[in-house]
Parts: sequence; C-alpha cells; structure tokens
Amino acid sequence: MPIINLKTQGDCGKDCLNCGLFRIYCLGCITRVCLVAKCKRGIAYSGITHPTGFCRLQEYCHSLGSIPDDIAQTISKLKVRIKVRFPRFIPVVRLTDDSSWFWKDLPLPWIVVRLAELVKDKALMQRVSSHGLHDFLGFDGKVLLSTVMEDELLDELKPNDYIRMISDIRPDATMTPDSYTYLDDPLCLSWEQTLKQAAFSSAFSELDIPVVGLIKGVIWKQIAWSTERAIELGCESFDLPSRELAELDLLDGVISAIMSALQKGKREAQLLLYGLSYPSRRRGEFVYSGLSWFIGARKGLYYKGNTSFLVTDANIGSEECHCTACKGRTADQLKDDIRSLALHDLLQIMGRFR
Amino acid sequence: MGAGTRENQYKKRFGLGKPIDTYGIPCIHAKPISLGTKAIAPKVPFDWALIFEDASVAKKISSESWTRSFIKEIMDYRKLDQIGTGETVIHGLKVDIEKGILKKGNPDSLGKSYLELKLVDTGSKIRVYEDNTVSVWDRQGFRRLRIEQLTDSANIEPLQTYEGRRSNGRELGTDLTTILMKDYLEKIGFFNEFVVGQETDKVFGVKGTVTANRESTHGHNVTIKYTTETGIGSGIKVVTISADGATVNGDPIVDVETREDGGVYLRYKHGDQVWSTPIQLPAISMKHSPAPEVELVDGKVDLGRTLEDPIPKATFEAIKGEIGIQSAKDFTDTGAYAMKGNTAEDFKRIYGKEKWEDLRDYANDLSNSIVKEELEKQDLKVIEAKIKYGAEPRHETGPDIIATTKDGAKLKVDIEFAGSGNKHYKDQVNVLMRKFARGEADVGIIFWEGDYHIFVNSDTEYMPLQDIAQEAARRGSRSLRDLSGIAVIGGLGLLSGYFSDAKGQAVSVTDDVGRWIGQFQNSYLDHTAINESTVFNSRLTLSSGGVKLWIN
Repeated sequence: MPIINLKTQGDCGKDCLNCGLFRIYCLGCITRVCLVAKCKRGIAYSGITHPTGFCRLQEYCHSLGSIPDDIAQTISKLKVRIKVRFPRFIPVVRLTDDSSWFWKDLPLPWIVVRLAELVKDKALMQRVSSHGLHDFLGFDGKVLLSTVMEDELLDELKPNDYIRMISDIRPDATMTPDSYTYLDDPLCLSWEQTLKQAAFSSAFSELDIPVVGLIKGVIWKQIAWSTERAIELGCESFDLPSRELAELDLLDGVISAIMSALQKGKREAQLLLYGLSYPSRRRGEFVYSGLSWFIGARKGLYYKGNTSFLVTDANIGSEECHCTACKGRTADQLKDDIRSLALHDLLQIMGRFR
Repeated sequence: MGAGTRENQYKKRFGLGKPIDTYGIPCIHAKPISLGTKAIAPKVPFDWALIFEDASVAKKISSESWTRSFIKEIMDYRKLDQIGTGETVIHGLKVDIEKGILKKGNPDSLGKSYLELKLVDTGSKIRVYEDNTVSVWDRQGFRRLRIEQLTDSANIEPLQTYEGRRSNGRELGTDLTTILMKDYLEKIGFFNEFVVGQETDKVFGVKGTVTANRESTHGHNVTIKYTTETGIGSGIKVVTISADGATVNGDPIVDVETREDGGVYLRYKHGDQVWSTPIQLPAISMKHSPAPEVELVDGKVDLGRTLEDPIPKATFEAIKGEIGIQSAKDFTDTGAYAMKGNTAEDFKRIYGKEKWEDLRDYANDLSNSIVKEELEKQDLKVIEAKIKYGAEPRHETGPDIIATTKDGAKLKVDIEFAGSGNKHYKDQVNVLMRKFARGEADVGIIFWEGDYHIFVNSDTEYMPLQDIAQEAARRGSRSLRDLSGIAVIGGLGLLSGYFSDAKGQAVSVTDDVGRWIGQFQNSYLDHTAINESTVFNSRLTLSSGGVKLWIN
C-alpha cells in the first residue's frame, strides 16, 4: 500500500511520513476532537491552548519531535507473579485524615492509600517511611498503593522515585505508575504518555509485591496496547482510573477495549474500577474502589442505597438507621458527627456490592 | 491522573477550559514546519519584492544559497585576514571588517582572535574566529553557526545556529536567513510603519487594518487584517509579516496578483498546491439575491435513536468503539472525515472498507430517519424515503436520498457532514446553497458538532415545502429595528444597507407592521429590495436605529 497516499501531516503538526508512531500506533487524525486541531480551527480553550503564550500543547503544534524507540523491547517481566484477590469494594482512605480510618469498627481486608498524598507532603512521607504504612495506620489488613495522581506530580517522578518510595513505605500491593492520556490531546501526546507509562512500569519488575497493571490510553489501540504491556509485565490484576471516564460516559468503550485485550491474552483477571463507588451495568468481574463515601460525608451527604441526601433533607429526617455507625440515629442526628456519617456512608456503599 | 478529556479536567480542577473563538487570530507559535530531516523539501524563500520596491538586499539575505555561499566565502580566518580591516564588498553586500580579541565569555575561548564583519545594509554582525568557527549576533549574544552543514553537499537544511537540543533529541537553532532579515527589517524601521488599530496600505497596496505589532524572543512581526465582503460572507484574511516572510492565515504567500478589474489576490501555498484568495475584490462588488436556504430545525444527534432497519444500527454499535466514536460529536466529526472525498480513502485504509461501509449505511439510515420525522412534524407526510447515493463522497450527480410525499412528489435530500468549527459549518451551508440554487436539492441535512441542522430550499418547486420554508423564515425573522447600518438611498427612496448577522446566518426582515420583506444573508438591501420587497412603491414608515424612512 503506498504510504504516500495517506495523510501526510497530522493535526499535531508532525510529518506523518517521518513519524515513528504513525501507522504502527497512531491512526492519524480521525476523531478531530484534538485540542491542537481545534485551535487550528479557531477554538482555543482557556488555560490549555489560550492564551497562546501559555499554551500547554505548543510543543505538539508543528513539532517534529522524535519518537522513542520501540518501548516494548524495554519491558521486563515481573520477578514474581503473585496473584491477589480483591474484595468487591476497597475503600480509599486519607493518610492525612484519621477520621477516614475505620478498621477498628469494621473488618476491612484491603484498603487503598494514595501515593499522591505522600509526594505532596514530605514530612508525612518521612513519618510513614520511618514506620511503614501498616504501623503508621495501625492497620493489619492489606494495603494497595494507588499511584494515581495529578499530572504535574507525574511529570516530576522517575521510575527510581517510585521504587524508592514503595520500598520505604512498604505497601502489600501497588499499581503501576500513572500517566495522563486525554481524549482531546493530540494522539502523539497520549501515545507518548502511554509509552512512558509502560516504560516506567517495567521498573516495577524489581518489586517483590503484587503489581496491579494500571491501564491508560484514549483510543482502542492505545488501551489494548497498554493492557498487553501490563500482561507482558506479568500483572495478574488490572485497574482503570474510572471516575472521569464514567462522568463523560466513556467508561463502557474503554472497558470493552481492556476486556477484549484480556480475552485475547486468555486472562481471567480482576479489573479494578478505581474511583467508582457504584456497580457498573456491564457484565464482568469488576472490583471497585473509591473515596466518595468520605468526601460525601464531609459535604454532609447521607447515603441510602444508591442515592444520597443532605443530612438535613426532610425526606429522610425521621428515618432511623440501625447500622454500626448510626445505632438507631436519624440522618439529622449525624450532621455534627462526621465520623459516624462517613462510616454510615461507607457501609451503604459496601452494601451496593453485596 | 488524566483520563477523559483535558477540557473537563481543567474545568473541574481550575475552573478553566472554556472555549474561546480565536478564528483568524494568528497564534504566536504558528510557523511553517521547520526542517528537521532530509526527507523534507528545502525551504522556499519569501519573495520580498512583493513588499519592497527595492528588494535587492532582502532578496540576497533571505536566499539560502546566497547565505551559504557568503559564509563559505568568509569562513576561512586566514583568507579573510588577508583582505584586511575596513569596508569592502563581499557577494554584492557592503561589509565593514574589524579585528578583535575575545575578552569575556567561555574561559576556554578567552584571548581568541576574531574578525568581525558588520553588514552595512542590515547591521548584522558575524564573527569568524581564528579556529574558523563562525558566530552571528542574535538575541543579545553571538551564536555559533553550524558551518559543518556546508561541507555536506547532500545537506540542504537551512544554515542554522546551535541552540541546544530538546528533550526529544531534536537540535534547535535559528536560520541564518531569518537572523539577517530580522536585522534588516529593524534597520530600515519596517515595523515602525504599522500602528495597531490603524489602516495601512503599505503592504500589497491594499487597505487593511493593523491588528498586532509585537516583538517576541523570536523577533518582530506585524499582523494586518484584510476584510472582503464577497456577498455570501465576510472573508477575513490575516497577513502576518515577520523575518521569515509573509503568510496569509498561516500559509506562506508565494505571489500577489493584481487583476484588471481591480481585484487583488494573494497566492499562497497549502500542502503541495498553490491557491488564491482575494484581499481586495473587484471595484464592482457582487450583490446577491436572497439566500435560498432556510433553516427549518436543528437538534442533537441521538445515536440511540431507533431506526427502521435495525441491522445498520446494530452493526454500527459493534464497530463504533473501534472507530473512536463515543459521542454524537465524535459521530459528526468522524462522519466528516470518513465521508469526504479527500479523507474517505484514508479512513478505508486504516479501518477497512467494511467498517467504512457500516458507518456510511448507519449515517444514511440516521439521516433518512431524522429528515422523515422532521418533515412529518411540519405536516408533510413522507410515505417513503429511499437512499439513492447516500453520504457516499464523490458520487454521480443526483440526490443522496429521495423522499416521496403522500401526493407523489419526489423531494431531493442532500446529506452533508461539516465536522467541527464555524468555518466548516459555513462551508457546508454554502455547498448546500449552491445545490439549492441549482435545484439539485429540496431539503438538506448538515451534521455538525454533534447536532443536525435541516434546511429547506425556499425556491423548491413543491409548493407545500415552499410554504414550510417561508413559514420557517418568518419564525426566525427580525425586525428592521434590530438591524443597524441601514440608510436611505437619496432619490431612489430605497433602503440601503448591508445585512450581516453575527453568526453569519441568514437574516429575515419584517417591516414595522409585521409584513415580511424577505430573507437576506450578507446581502445589500438596495439590490434585494427591488426584487423581493413587498414594500417597494408602497408608502410605509420603516424605522431603523430610530430614523423614520419613507419609501415611495
């Protein structure tokens, strides 16, 4: 097939004929949602591509950047393949707020803690490092480390930083590193981030704890590629940061791509939908993890089944709840007891997954 | 973290990510792709004779071959030293040579002798050191030139300075031609002649408005906006002049053509082809009759819509993830890519012809269903709608769909995908207008940014549809009071004015007593009123901007 007949310049500005991504990974500009392409069509976005002096994507406009060599070659296998089995819902807790710690009130086999909190707070990092996560939290269950964090923090971290921090804080399992892949970024940027994430993940082969493959990507090909690399790495469980995808109604498509790659790799693995606190309508063995129960309680939300109400809502005012937290109290009576409200909300969420 | 869209992320985290219309505003980062590999064609210099009467200096210093041979001529320190200090002429340019010793900078280079050449016409300074390295003064410092490029006869990249490497390994640098032109333009005070907000005819002899005159680390540039009223819209051409040359709407200008009728056209290069665009129209401007198209209705594309034939929808559902369609907007964007003649083949190659056919069949059925339903809402019973050529690009002449009404009339329906952006939407409206004007379509559906827009041809031969068109035009009509810029033509007793709606859409006009005058899109009323206005030869009071006008 004569390549010369194909599109010769992407919206990213790269010359497709000289771009290492094109045709191997990149499909060329098809969905036309890319913010660089939009900018060229006269629609810029405040804080992203406007004002142009501060454009965050300028590097991807008219760029000729070279593409990393085949990253797949650098992927090494995990030393030990350890399979973990997660419960249906794993609460995320805040390291900086012990009112989200409930292991004395409720048997919790697994919790999730966020590396982002430690990256942002060096003093906290030192305290946790000196004790290890379990002693710091006083928790004798299992701790999964979430590597999901803000883009600007991700840009600062190198593979060795992850290894060092994980060795210091000693979780029972960890996700592979995160990266940022946006549907409206130029495809070359999301490819760079997907490739970077796979390359960083290979450093996790040094770890002796179970590693959960975090899946990134915005188009089918990237998501499937990311999943295949995680399989190659030896991951037995996988996770997908799901909150934003669910908000934009994109989750189903992404899950389809992951499941298809897993099936192709003949994997019957658990997929953790991170950031989701309600069951997906899709069929499949998913597990879930989220902090919304705690954030909701801090905002005065009282969960009941699949819905939430303000604690002061007259519709639930007189209903008593007999859960471990409420012990016969009404929602209104919890309004000044955030800890009990949080535990109530957590129990309600866990009830969704029974 | 990042998943979903960056736009959403910025909205949630920072309250930013709001869309801003920047159409026609040049980006400060915009520049033609710079050369990075030998696979790309050599840079074509801008012909400064298009701007300067005397372009003898500019022509030399903007020429890659001239700068290369100039540097080759001077890069040997010993040979240059033999010429001696003082003023001389090298390659047709006056040069003043001075000798010096490096007294500051890199400790390893201190004490190094050099010869400094000052180009009298440009003010540029070039140093040739005793070790035969060459540097040029740019942005407050001497920057070393990559003279090793000159020894490689296969190397056709522009001669550049060393400015380090990017994280991806690509070397950075500035073209010597750009540096010399930058110096020259500063020396002759070229940019001082342009005041932001004022009109100027110093470039191409055509009046335009200076919209920017700024200096950045990459040099000075000036932006001039030329507006042409073509009769079917306002054409805005943004010309930017910098040391790299001149561009129009981001594309390099290769020529300027002044025609006998007074029209001035810029010829620019886009891709491998040269195109033409006017910055001044002929002295007698075009005046168009009212726009034939009337927008009947618009709505959101619902990808979950039930279609008569379930198979194309089921097939589409199965492939949509693979072809990147997650939302209605993806559908209209992808449709524009897949159903356009120049990109349809790309789509087929990448996804396979089968998926392309699946998408086409779904687009056809969806269009069919929407048009039928919307016409029936207007009490126009469509008993059958058959796809003839459908959304297929570059098909034989003929309608995309033929809709048969209950009284046997056959209506020609046209399907257009506009993708995203106001320009593409306007382009597709214009395509539809032409088809309406030629009687090739009675109804048109345009898919754009996740929505559909249905238009009807007000000149259709089918009377019930004509009534629907007129009724739709009345519904969307605006009173003359709403319009500014209307004046009376003395003696003729006609209203005159240019009707231009902010959105570039057609404007329907009624008089003070609610009588419909007609529909106008970027049209002159003095022309259209004669043909269309029911108020001609009537005695009516019309008001515009508070002024009472009499038409007799």
